Amino acid sequence: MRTGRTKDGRYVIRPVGAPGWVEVSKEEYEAAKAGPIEALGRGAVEGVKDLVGGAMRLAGGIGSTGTAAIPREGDMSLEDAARIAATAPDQGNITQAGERLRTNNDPTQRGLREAQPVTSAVGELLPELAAGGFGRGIKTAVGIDAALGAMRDPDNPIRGAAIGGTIGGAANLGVSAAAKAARATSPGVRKGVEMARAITTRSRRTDSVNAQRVADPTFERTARELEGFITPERAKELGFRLTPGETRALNATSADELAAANRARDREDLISSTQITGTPFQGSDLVSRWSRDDHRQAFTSYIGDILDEPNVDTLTNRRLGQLLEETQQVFKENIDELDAPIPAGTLIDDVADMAEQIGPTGEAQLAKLAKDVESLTKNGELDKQATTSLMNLLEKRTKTAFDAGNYELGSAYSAVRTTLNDAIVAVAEKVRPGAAVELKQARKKYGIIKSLQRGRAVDPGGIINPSTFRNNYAKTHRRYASGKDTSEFAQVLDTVTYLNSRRTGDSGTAARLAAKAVGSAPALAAGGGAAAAGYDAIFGR
Amino acid sequence: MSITASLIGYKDAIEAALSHADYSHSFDDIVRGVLTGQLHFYPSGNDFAIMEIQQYPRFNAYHCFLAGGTTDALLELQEIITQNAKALNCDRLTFTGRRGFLRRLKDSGWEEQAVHMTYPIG
Repeated sequence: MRTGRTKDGRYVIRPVGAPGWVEVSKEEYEAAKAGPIEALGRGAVEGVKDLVGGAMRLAGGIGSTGTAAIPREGDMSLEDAARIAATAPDQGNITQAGERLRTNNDPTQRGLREAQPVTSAVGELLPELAAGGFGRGIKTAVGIDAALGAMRDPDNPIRGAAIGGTIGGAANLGVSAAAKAARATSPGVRKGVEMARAITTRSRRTDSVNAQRVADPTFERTARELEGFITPERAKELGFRLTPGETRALNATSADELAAANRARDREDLISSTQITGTPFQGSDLVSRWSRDDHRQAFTSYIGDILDEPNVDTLTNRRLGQLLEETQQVFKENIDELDAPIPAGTLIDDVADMAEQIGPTGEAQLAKLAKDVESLTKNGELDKQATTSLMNLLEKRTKTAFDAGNYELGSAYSAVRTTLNDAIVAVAEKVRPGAAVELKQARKKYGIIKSLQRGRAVDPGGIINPSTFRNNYAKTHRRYASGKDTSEFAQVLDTVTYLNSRRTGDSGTAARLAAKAVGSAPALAAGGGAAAAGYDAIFGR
Repeated sequence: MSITASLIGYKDAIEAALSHADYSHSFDDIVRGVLTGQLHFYPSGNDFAIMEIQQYPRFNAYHCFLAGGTTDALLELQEIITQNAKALNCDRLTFTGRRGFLRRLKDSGWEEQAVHMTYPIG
């Protein structure tokens, strides 16, 4: 988290990923300066949202199972909190829920007290935390920084313990159990931050931007540019046909402007989903669905250019397979020509570091990988054959991990492969100047092609679905996933994903079936396919 | 166990069910939907159901958006879901499934109302 003072003496902070500076009190400024753990802060805020949401439903007096009925029980790990931070960035509900929680005569509060006395106590101890809201969310993160300090303060152990319990998300823990959670927090903090970094994608992060931006002493760029999006001008150059709402969103310089622009985009979506023709709406001829298609086309062309495939309709699975083979060939040829050993020191260190960080989701697998690397290494180096073996091994295990849904392990394997590639490139450049550029291009293409091959990233007509592509790409590109990749490719990817995004409301079934359902029950049936293990009944929609 | 941790425990099964929904949602979308209260998650042993309220002008339906498990287990879960549906002012339960459910649920009070058709647009 960056901290600063404006020319007129105000205190400002700028958490990682926020679009601009936020004015805070001196105390908050000091707390922010003392400990930058905003990732944890977000996780904890969302953890509160989780428990408040459950309690709210409990107070509604409905059944006794499911999230519709059960508030939180047991504890919530930092990994959970970080995952929630990545998956549920909208904090509007926290504000509402938190405010109700704070109101003593609110029936929700009474229901909560009866069911979860400790939760209620924690809510009162940390009204700011319970109140949430993005503007406050940033301050909450600061508050948690301060809370961690309080936790370590021997003069105030109970407050610290209660806060520790909240950070751990323990809704129904007693004070002694909360104290244990507090003691366990320090290693957890590091892990929580690591996990948050690994799983927070840029777009999730950017979706969370609601803060009111104050005068920024350094930047004159728009909020979206600060988040890593391309400018509207560059978007148009690439062939994106921006609607007025989209143009406003990309030009927004404050959270208010951004919110207004997003409301305009919602209206544009509504028009495209409820009208067949582009009837003028508030003076604009808008059919954003068309522009979404247009964005997909433009993005497909952009990817086609990178892959030297100008005809987008040739991006068939077969062609993608050929392209992948070609890029792999570049690597193999370079390794063949290389005939120089690859230093394995960094690689071994990386694997050891990750094995330490990853925890039970992949500790054993990474320990095995460390042994494999060591067995392939002679005198601290990998020869040609060992390098090829390791590349193949990593590719296979990455795929297996992702296929099994173990995202953390898959990402770790992928990171090891990146380290290996870096080592190969460094040696290749020494042996043959110019090889680095060739390999870098091949690696970029390789990453793109792999992302095109997973899921349904390319439709049968050769048009890329940016969201699917982005999700695939983020899985194997840690720098991108953690928001550190500032290349134009990352910017274009973020922008097109945003432009193609829609709000996730309900499943969509009601809207699609409403016309048929008037006067009768909604239309049902269809589907079919394999069931999960042991299931004889499985369905969706 | 937290809601999120519980959902993660069912991740494979939820993703398997999503394949029947043509991957209209990712697992993360489901987590977000549950945490924001739009979707209601009912875990039960190895089985689960995810419900949502669908509002129509003349009635509300408690729609089973995703489910996975044995028929018997899901029918057991149906009892509490029905209670909640009443509390949520819904007058029916609904779900979309393959035709095999017609036979399997014929003695459980479920009725076929219509056929859900899709016309893919290239």
